[in-house]
Amino acid sequence: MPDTFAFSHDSQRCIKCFTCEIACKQWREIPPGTFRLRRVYEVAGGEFPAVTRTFHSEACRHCPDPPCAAACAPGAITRDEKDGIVRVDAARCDGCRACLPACPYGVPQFGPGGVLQLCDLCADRLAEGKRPMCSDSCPTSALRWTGPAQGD
Amino acid sequence: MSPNQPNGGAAAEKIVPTFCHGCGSYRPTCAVLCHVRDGRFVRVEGAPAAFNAGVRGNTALCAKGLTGPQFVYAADRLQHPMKRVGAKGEGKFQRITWDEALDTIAEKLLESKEKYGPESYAVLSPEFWPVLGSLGRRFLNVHGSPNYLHSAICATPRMAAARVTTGYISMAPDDWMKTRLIVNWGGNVENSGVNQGAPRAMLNALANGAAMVDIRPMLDPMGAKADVWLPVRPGTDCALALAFLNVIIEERLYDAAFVAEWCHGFDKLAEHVAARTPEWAAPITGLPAERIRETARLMGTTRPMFVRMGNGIGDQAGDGTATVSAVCLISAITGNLDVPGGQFAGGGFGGSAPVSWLDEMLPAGMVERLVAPEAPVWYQTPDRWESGPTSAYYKALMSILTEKPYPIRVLNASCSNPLSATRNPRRVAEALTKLDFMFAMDIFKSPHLDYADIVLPACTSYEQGDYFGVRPTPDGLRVAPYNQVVEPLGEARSDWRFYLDLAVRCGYGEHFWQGDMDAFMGEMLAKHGVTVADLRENPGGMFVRPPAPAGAPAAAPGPSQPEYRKYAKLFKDLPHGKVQCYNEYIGGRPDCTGTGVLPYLPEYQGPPEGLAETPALAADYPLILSDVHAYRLAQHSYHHDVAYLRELQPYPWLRMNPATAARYGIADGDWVRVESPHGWSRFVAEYFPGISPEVLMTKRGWWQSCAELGLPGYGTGDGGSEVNNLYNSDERHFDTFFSQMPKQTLVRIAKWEEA
Repeated sequence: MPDTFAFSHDSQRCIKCFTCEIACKQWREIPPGTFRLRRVYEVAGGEFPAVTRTFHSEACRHCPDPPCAAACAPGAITRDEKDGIVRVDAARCDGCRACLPACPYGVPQFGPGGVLQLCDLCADRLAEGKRPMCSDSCPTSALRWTGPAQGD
Repeated sequence: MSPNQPNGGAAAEKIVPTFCHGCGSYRPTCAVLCHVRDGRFVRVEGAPAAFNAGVRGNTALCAKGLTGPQFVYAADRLQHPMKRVGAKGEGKFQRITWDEALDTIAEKLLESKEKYGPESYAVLSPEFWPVLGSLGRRFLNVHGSPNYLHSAICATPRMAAARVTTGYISMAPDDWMKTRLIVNWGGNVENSGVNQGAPRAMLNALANGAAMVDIRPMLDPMGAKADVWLPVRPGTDCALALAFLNVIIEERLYDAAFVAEWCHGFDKLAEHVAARTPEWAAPITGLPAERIRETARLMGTTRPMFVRMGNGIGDQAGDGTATVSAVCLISAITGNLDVPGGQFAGGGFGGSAPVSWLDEMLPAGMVERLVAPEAPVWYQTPDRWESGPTSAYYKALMSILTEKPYPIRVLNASCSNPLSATRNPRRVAEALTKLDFMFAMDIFKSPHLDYADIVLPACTSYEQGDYFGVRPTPDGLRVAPYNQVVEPLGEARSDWRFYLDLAVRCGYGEHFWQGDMDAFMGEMLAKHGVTVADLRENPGGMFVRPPAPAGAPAAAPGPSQPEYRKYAKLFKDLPHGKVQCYNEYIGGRPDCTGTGVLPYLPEYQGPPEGLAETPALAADYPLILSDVHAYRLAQHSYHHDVAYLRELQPYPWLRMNPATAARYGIADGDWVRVESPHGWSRFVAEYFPGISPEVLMTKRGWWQSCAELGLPGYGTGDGGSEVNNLYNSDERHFDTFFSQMPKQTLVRIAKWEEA
């Protein structure tokens, strides 16, 4: 499975509807007001009326050689060579946040006790042959999943 | 379970298929699969078998739809019937039984009917709601009242303006892939019905090379992808439309053959708009004349063009009818009506009623007795109405105070908060206080309930199984039931059940299946060839072929080509059988107030307060304020109690250009006092570069608190955060054809600090 899955996000099709962000939260039952594993944001530029807005949706990209893992002194972040998923060992994470500046995409978010929280690609859905909840929920197909459970 | 661990409970979850509540009660647009764990609705996903948005295998939903569980368990749910024990507006209630509540309502309804006539009863209409569109209308007819109080907002005013101009309104082209130019005019597609197909279709068209013009005050996400963005000043769209007509006619960009054959009074229109040049429109709309001219040329030369009119124009402006008429005329004279990729006329007006409304039971002369006809009485005939006659919501509420032509005495104010759904909440509160009797069934503790005599708890769509959805799909007609996901909270009941029970108590049982829900459902289902038993046996939905009309030949197999340019049929109800460039359908006929006549040509009126319209006032109130009709993290003024949505918009936002904020010393996130000539409200500044420095935009309805996040709700009067508190509500500024109310005013602002 390594290197055979990826999220792709097409900003041109994204309308900043927040569906993917909430899809993730509700599927994972993340308590409101805490953290987000996927986040929608925009980059705006220019001055009225020549304004540009570009929309993004970002979550852990499960990098083949994750810089966050390299920066993690306690060794709490590992990439599973079998399935290619980057995971956190909550017992080892000491909340030092060294992973945050190491991530080129600004993804790391911290939950109760300052423990790093990461997308697990909706392991329960993958196990059932479904796709991750965020991409499955996108109303404009801006966010897509390609991987073994792709199904189409 | 740790939030970061995979959910191990999947196997223990029961999955119940039903329909989403995100766009409102019993609006079966998106089918969902609800996951229940230990008797609790915990999470939700799209139902891939249901052709949501018309797409096979679609699992998409939207932000609102994905918060179903939080919506059900929100802390401000009503759970028991109550009667008011304090003064009106005080909010003191005592729990009572359903029996007492229903008996009291029936007694008051009959008493008022006896004393003041059946028309003394009125019902507030929320957004289109199948409960009111079927049983509610039927109840009105059986009781004998015409007073269905429609908002004068939303699609019906736009549909009416189009009907009297070009015979129909087009909500989509037949095929977006054929469209070369999309004009999104006030269409709030990223915010309303996000998963109902429009954004996906428009993005597909853009990817296919279509150009796009977006005409809205804010650079919304779809506008950010457009080739041309025209940040029109709120409420001045009519001036822009007239200037487009001016250029298209002046530069002979119109379809001369179509005009010659199918347009009535084109010369009079040409003469009328001759002075409506881009230079005339520029200081009104805030747009450079050259920009208007270039856009008009683009619209006049790119075919097929599809203009998507949304809630931003036509239904919340005092010249809404003229605006929509003018836009329809642009499409008409450029030859874009009923052509491939253009303003396709595929459907007809209105839908078929789920059950008969029993119109014949409305006593003769009752249309003339409408307390405040939304459209002129002469226009309100069965061939033109959506479900029956309508009075205008705001004007009818004011009848309680003015007693002209007579006061509404008993009001059913269910699922619509009149302190936020219409203008001038202070006057509305006075009107509610003066009512003889008010009852309301709602899901949440809306502030208007404080004026009710009886309050009833409604359940959400996830707590009942009393309705169903029907969708045509390539596999046949999909008919699927609402299934009960979880038991109703407290004593909450379905709105359908309520209407049947109330009708029986009023002695109207013979017209309401003697209160038998299955008999009612069976009648609704019969036309689809489905029984209640069929439905119950197929909780995940079933595909049926619609029964062929008696005597009709069987449909030919294979895809059929739509028929285009059906002009003789489309214009058959228009005078001379032609497009009304000079409108003899409405021109010279009585207006909805009954005191004036309607114009023959679309004329710019503009907002009651505007930079160009009222320059003296603008010296004291230098900024324009308006609000969005819909927003993707709320459903009208509801859903602010839902934590996942509220955390993305915790405070009543006011979008402002950073340059404007700097001028007033307002930081991003500061509270701002916003004062119009009609009141003051407070909002939180949100820096937004995609808005003119002279315009501020917000959204209405911030009355709900969110207990889970510890965030309050805000009031609707002065010092609260309701934008409707700020608008001009003088009925003389309302549209004279369909009662549309302006939602644009001038304001002054200052940083607000708690005293």
